[in-house]
Amino acid sequence: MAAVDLRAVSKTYDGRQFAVRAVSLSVPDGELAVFVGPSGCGKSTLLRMIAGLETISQGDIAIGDMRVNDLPARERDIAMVFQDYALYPHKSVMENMAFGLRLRRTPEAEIRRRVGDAADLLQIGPLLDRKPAALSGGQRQRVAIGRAIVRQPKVFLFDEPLSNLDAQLRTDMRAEIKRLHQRLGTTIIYVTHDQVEAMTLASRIAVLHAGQLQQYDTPARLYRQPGNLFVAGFMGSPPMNRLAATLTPQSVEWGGGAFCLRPAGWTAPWPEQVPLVLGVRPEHVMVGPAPADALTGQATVALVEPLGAETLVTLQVGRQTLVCRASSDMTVTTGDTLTFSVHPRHLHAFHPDSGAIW
Amino acid sequence: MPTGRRPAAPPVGVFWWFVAPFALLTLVFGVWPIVLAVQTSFTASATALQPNAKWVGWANYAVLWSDPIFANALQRTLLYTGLAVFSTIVAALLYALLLQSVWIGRGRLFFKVAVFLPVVTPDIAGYVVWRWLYDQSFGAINTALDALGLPLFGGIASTSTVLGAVMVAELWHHVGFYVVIFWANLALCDKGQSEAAQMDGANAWQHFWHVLLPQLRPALLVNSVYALIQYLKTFTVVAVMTKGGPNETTNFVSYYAYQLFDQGRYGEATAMATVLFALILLLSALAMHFQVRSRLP
Repeated sequence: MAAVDLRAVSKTYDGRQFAVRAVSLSVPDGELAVFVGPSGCGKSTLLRMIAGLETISQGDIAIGDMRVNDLPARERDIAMVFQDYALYPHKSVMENMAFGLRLRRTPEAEIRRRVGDAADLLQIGPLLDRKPAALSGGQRQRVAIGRAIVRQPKVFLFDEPLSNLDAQLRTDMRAEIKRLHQRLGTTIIYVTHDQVEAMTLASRIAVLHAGQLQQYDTPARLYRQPGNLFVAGFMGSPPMNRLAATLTPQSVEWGGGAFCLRPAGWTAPWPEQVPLVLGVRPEHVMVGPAPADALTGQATVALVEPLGAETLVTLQVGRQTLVCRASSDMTVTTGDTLTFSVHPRHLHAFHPDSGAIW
Repeated sequence: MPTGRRPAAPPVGVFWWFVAPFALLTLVFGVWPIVLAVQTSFTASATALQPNAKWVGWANYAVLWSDPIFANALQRTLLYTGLAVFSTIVAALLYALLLQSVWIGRGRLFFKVAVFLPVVTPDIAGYVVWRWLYDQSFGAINTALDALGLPLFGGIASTSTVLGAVMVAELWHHVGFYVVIFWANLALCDKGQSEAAQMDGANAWQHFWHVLLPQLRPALLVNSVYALIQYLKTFTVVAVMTKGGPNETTNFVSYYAYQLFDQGRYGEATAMATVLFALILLLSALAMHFQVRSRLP
C-alpha cells in the first residue's frame, strides 16, 4: 500500500503538443481516486505514465516514497485492469491469475491459496479451469480484477474497466469494485469518462480537460463548488445550467435583456455592464411558489421529459434555456407559461472567457 | 418496387467461370503429370515412355527398397530438412522480431529490403554467386579468412561443412518469405496482452515465451508446413552448387531421382518421386493435424 504523488507531470510526443500538461496531485494511501474527463483529455495517458507503460516527458511520479520515473513497469509493484481485459487467451483462468505470481517464483501452495481467495472473493471459483474464450464479458472482467488482486500490489490501476459491459452489469460491477476497495483498503486509481462512475466510486476526483487538471477534490465539493465552467458542465446529469448574463449595478440580466433577475438586496460593488456566466444546478431551479428571498422569473415550457422518479423540464427564458429537475407529480405541458425561482445561494458565477469561478 | 435492397447476388455458376482457366491449368500442368509419373513408376524403364508400357507392378519400388544409395539419400534428406526447417523458422522469427523492435529505428526499411530482395532474385543466380563465395582458391570468404590469418573454410568442398554451407545459401535465399509471414502475424498480436504481461512483471524473454509465441501459432503453422515441403524437395541448390557431392553428401532424394531419370531409369526415378510425394503429403498432414489441434482452446 502506498500513496501516489504526481508533481508537474507532462506528456508530449513532439515537444509542442501536450497530451498531459503539468498535472500535480497526490492520492493518499488507501484512497480511491478517479481521473475523469471526456475522450482525449489525457486521463488514460496519465494513468499509463503511472503504470510505466508511457514515458514521463516532464515532472516526477512517486509511489510511496520512491520516484519511479526511471523504473520499468514490472518493477513498480502496480497491477492494472485494462478496458479490454487483456487476458491471456491460451491460459486458463487459474493460470491467468497465477501468471504474475509464477514470474515472481511464489511457492505453488501460496499461489493456490491466493488465487483461491481471490476467486472466492470475486465468485469465479467454478471458472478456474476455463479459458477466457469460454467466459462472458462480466466474468472476464472479474478474472482481470482477480489477476490484479492476487499480486497484492501497492497500487491498483483501473483503465475504464466497465465500459465494455452492458448497463446493468456495469452498475453491479461498480458496486462490487467499491466493496472490494473497502475490503482491501489498497490505493486505487481509476480512469473513466463516466461522471456517474466517478461520483459513486471516488474518495477524490480529478477532472481533466485538454491535458490539464481542472479540479481535484472530493465528489461532494466538486459537485457543490465546481472550480470552473468545465467542471460545472461535466459533473452532474443533466449538467449545470450555464447562462450568459450581464451584471449591472441594479441587476443581473440574461436572455439578451428579455428577462431580468432582480436580486433583492443584492448591492452592486462592480462597475457597470460586466459580462459573466451564471450557473445553476437543475435541482435548484424551482417551479411553483417562490420563497421570499429567491430570484423569480417567467418562462415557457419547451420540453418535458418524465424519468419516473422525477421530471426534467426544459424552460425557454428569452433566447436561453434552463433545465429544471422537478417532482414527477408536477403536471406541466409543452407551451405552458410558468413562474420559476432560484435561490441566490445556488447561483455560481463564472468568467465568460476563462471559465474560472468568479 | 424493391427499395433499399442490395442487388441480387450473381448465380454461383459465374464464379466457376472465373476459376475455370486456372483450374484447367492446374489440372493439365499440375495434376496430370503427377498421375502420369505415378503411372510410370509401375512400368519397366525400358518401355516407360512408349505407348504400350510394360507393367511391372511394385518392381521399381522393390529396387528402391534394396538400393543403399536411396536409403542414404532419404536419410540425408530427412536430416537436412529437419535442420533446415528448424533454422529457417528460428532465423525468420528472430529477424521478424528485429524488424518489429524499436531500436532499429530508421534502419527498418533497409532491413526489410535486405531480407526480401533475395526472395525475388532468381534461384540459380543466387546459388552461382554463393558457389563463387565458397570457392576454395578465389572465393571471397576464404580470401577474407586468409587475409585475417584465420583457417580456411571448407565450404562446399568439404564433406563436413557442405550441408551447413548449402543450408546457409538456402536460408539466405528463402528466409525473407518466412519473415514476411511472421511479421504480418506479429503486427496482429494484441498489444494489450503485452502490456498486461509488463504489469505482471514479465521480462523480455518471459513476454516472448508466454505472450507472443502463443499468438504466433498461425504463422508457425504456415511457415513450418511450407518449409517442410520446400526443403524435402531441395533440388536447385544442389544442382547448381554441388551436384550431389562431395562424396554424395548432398545427394538428396529429388536430386538422386533426377540423376536416375537422366540415366533413363524412368521407372525407378518416378517411383522415387512418388515416395517423396507421399512423404511430403504425410508429414504436412501430420504437422497440420498436430498444430491445428494444439491451437484449440
